[in-house]
Amino acid sequence: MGCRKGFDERVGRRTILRGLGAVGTIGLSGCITAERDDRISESGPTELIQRGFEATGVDAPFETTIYANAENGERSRWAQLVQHELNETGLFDVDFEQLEWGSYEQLCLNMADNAENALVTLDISGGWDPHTYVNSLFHSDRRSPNGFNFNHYTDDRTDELIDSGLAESDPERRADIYRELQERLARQVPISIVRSGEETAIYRCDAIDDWRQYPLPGSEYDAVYTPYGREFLESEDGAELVVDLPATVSNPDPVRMNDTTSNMATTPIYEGLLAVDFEGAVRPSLATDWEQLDPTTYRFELRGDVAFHNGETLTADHVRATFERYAGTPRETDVYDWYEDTVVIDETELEIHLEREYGPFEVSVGVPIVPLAASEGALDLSEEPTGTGPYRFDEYADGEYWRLRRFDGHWFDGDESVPERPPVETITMRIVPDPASRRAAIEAGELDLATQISAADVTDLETQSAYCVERSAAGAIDFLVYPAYLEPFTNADVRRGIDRLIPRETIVEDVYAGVGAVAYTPIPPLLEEFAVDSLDPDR
Amino acid sequence: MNEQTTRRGRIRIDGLEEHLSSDRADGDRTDADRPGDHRDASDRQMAAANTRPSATSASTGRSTLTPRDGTSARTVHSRSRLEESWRRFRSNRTALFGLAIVAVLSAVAIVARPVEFSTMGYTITLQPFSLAPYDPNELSVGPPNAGPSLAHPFGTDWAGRDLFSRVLVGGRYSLSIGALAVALALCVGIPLGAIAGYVGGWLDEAIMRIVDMLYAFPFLVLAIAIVAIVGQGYWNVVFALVVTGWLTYARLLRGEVLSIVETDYVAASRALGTPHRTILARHVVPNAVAPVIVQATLNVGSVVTAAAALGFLGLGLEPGTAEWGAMLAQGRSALLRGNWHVTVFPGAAIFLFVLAINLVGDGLTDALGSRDGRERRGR
Amino acid sequence: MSIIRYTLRRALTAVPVLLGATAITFSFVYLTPGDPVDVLVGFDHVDPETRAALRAEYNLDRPLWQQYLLWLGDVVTFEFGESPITGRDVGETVASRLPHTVALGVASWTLSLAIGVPLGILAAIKQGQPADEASRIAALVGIATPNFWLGLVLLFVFAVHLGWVRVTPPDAPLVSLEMAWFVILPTVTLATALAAIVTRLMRSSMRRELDREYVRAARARGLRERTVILKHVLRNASTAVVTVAGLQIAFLVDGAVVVEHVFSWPGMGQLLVESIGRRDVSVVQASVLLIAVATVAANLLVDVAYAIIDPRIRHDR
Repeated sequence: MGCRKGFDERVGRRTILRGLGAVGTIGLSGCITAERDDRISESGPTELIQRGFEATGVDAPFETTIYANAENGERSRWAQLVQHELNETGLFDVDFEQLEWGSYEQLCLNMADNAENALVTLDISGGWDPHTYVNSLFHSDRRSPNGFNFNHYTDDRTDELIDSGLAESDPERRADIYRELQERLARQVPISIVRSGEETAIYRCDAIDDWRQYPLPGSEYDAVYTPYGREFLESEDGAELVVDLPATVSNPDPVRMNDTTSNMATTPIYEGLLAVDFEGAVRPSLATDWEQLDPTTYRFELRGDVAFHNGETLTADHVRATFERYAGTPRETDVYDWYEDTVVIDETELEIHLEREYGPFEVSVGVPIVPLAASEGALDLSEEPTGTGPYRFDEYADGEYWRLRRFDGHWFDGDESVPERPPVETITMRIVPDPASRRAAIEAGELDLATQISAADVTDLETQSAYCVERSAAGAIDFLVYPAYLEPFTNADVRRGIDRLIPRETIVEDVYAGVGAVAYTPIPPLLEEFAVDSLDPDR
Repeated sequence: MNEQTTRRGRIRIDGLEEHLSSDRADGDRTDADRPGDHRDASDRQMAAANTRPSATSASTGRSTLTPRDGTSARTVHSRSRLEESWRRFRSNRTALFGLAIVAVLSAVAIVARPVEFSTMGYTITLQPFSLAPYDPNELSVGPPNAGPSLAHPFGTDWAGRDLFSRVLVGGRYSLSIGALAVALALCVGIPLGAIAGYVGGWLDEAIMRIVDMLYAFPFLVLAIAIVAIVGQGYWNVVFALVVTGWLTYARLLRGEVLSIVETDYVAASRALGTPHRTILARHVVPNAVAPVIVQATLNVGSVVTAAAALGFLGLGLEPGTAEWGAMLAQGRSALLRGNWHVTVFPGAAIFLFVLAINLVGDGLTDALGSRDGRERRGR
Repeated sequence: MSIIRYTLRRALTAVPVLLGATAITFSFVYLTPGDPVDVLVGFDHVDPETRAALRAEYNLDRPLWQQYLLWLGDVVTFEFGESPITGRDVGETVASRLPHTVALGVASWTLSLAIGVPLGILAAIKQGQPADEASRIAALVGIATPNFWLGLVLLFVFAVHLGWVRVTPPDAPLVSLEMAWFVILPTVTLATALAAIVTRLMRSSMRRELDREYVRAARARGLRERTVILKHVLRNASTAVVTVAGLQIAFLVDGAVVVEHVFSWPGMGQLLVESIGRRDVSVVQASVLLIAVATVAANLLVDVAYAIIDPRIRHDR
């Protein structure tokens, strides 16, 4: 599941879309209403839209509404920019509406079923595998509410490509498949990709020397000490690190986890069989070695000396019990999308049988291994998250802070890049729900490091010497969903025209203060071998 | 039925004592244990808290209460009372000052941009003036987040919109929300309160029970829940404010009605066979409504603040709207970034308006009789 | 009638109000778009059977009224159960937040009385003089200042700019010096409007008492002004203030919703907004019930206080 590394799109679905709820004040460089050169010379987008209007028999101006949710100030702003741009053409009469998150979620989930005349703005974070970005958004099996295919886009060739991408294990052939898929999507434009995200961390240079930011949302605080990722935070022994959380920790139990915040709070507690490092390479974690015996069978060799925080010692039974614990829980699909069963060979050896050939298996198998006591019901992980990680759960003051302490029994013996034990003894995650207060807290020195600062604040603080900023391209994209089931949006020309009207540069530069990058295709640049540059066939 | 109602009402209502002799008060002991009497104590305090502590003293020191001027002849002299009130209001300089501010703010809101009415291709201009230098929704009329300057006296916001124009036009939203929400709440509260007080019995019981239940919710929580159900937007915010706002008026009016129903005048009308509707509409409500009007005036201010608080929580009007509260909410993090003007000017506008409304309310209180202490909760 | 009997009778009558309030909450939460199971599984394609099982686990498959009755049954036995969303005990969750809001409330309440009562007395005694006008204007300013705005400005000036207080609550027990220092700003934010209300109320009830016969009589008897005020006027006038003070609970919770957000204060207001956001019905219900109980209890206390001060009330009814 996604708890570890955001291996799939299911990482904290709630906050995926909600984003950081950040409110930032960002400038516009004045080019929104100005006629851009390319527009004058080309005047393509409006012609495309007009052509589409004629084809569908729709008269201009067409009335519609663009939506955003109230918790995410940046999304609201870019929605307003798109609204403005569409209204400028005179072809649309667009209203802007903002909903509270729960209502917004319902609007998105049911827009196709209710034939809502609505453009919705969202973002999604995926994992290290391209499948996680395209499957949920475009596969016809994932039409909402079973996925993020909100406008019920259905295209057989797209489904075929997604399915074969999943089953293919040869990297080059996979890259070809995803390239063809993205070209196809760029022609059909069921949704418009607007921006690819960036993970940012801002820290006080006097408190922290150097910070490495994990590119997937939810795993920010893994970088404090990760044997698998060859990263750790240098500090004097026994130090306390104070960081931010944007909301209360909803549920730290891996099978019931339902938001990114819980993910952030628990990554140092849990470990899986395998892990994905900062560059996207699969590394051994609790498994020392693994091999694929046949397309649907993998054999794993476990570390022998791994202790759980509650005193249990890791065995193959733990792995099997962990997987089977997912059955019938809210996070069932984290495992049961591919899992068939586990054959325990001996204490430290096991075979995992897959239900079907599964391309992203290695990045999906790293779900948190939990003690047998949890599977047997003696231990409630919602109250006391327990794993094998370098930090153990210490205390939680609801709404106030979440505290982890160094686990002295951690298995790692140290190597040339990472010491035997983490120098930071205590990680205190302070819950600061208001974005302005988060910024104020880091300025006041109450946080050493913050990962949930709004983009505008990051670039503002970046200019001050007391703060250091670490940015990395993230596995996240922002997009605009068209009501493709409704005329005139049924017409691809209309969607293509709008797509080209979206002021992507302005959005990235002014709304996100330069954080993130302009994007046209669903697979973000983080996944270098699968990402493609602009594919707009009309350009 | 009416016996019971009036007896109950007496505990809580000032202005009643002059109609009652102490021996009748003693007679009340007989039904001390009647179920349903209980609520009056809390009602009384609500009324006191919301409006007039004099009600409280009525219950604690009834025998020492001073008679209120004009009450014995309230129905007969209502016109001259109005004139008298207006004379008193006019002589109150701070109240007039408040009224002037409200008038200026309203006028500015109206002439800020032309008011046009389009129908079937024709555009009728109702109001041609344009005080605001820019279209409040026009993006990039200046550099983003610029501080106050000659071209933009209040500076610009994140999208380069002119804040001066937005604050001027914003009055349209804030003031009309305030006025509408209060007016509609009155439309709900006055009839319900009047019926509850006049008819009494189970109807009274039912209405006041609903009021009690809704009072058990903190206002913002209730409003948040309502906005979560019906969504954001102008009318939805008005709706949420009406649902949470009518309680005060209903309760207040009921109390007043209870005291008036007791008067000989009403008793006489009843005896003469005047239809209840006529009694209610002609005699009871007009005489009971004064404190409600005072309260409503004051509430216009708190409703504007409440709408702004909803906006602050992201649940008011759409963020692009030039409403004062929504503008304020957007400027939250701007304040920390040093763009103080984004919050200060809309904040000052709210402040000024609420202050002015309170001055007017104070003046009204003084003018409408000796109800010197009317206070309210945050509603 | 004995005071105990009176209290009991008053307490009993709160029951229908509480029932109604919780029933309203219940239907409200269900009217809001969004389903707890959706929050749990999100946009995921979950096996329909699993989804159905989850619904059944939390009784979400039953009709609304049954769900309410089930909830009611649990509450009567003080068994709030486990939240489907957080997996933690609802009672404990609420209990962990409550002290923070109570602390903030008590502090604001005390401060507002400490400011409002003397100011009101001063204004009443010096009626028409500059001191009266000044306190009147101060009260108006207090009422007209939106508390969320005031909170932000205070935070910005004193915590960020001057660095005198922390931005987030300190890592200290609730009852400690550091916490007391931190709580100053939120307290001031909340207490401002409250103090203004108390001032005006105090002034008006004082004025009324001062005009009374007995005061004039006392003065005529040659009693010192101070004695008159302290002995007679204050006692009578304070009942009105007690009333308002008792009724400020809802006002404080309203303020807390906003102020707690600005000051990252882990109280009931934040919990409520959070729980509404994630459709955590069980926590919303428990919180609303608690607030309703507190409101009703405050009314009751005030009534009983009156009954003790003035026994006629008991007999009157």
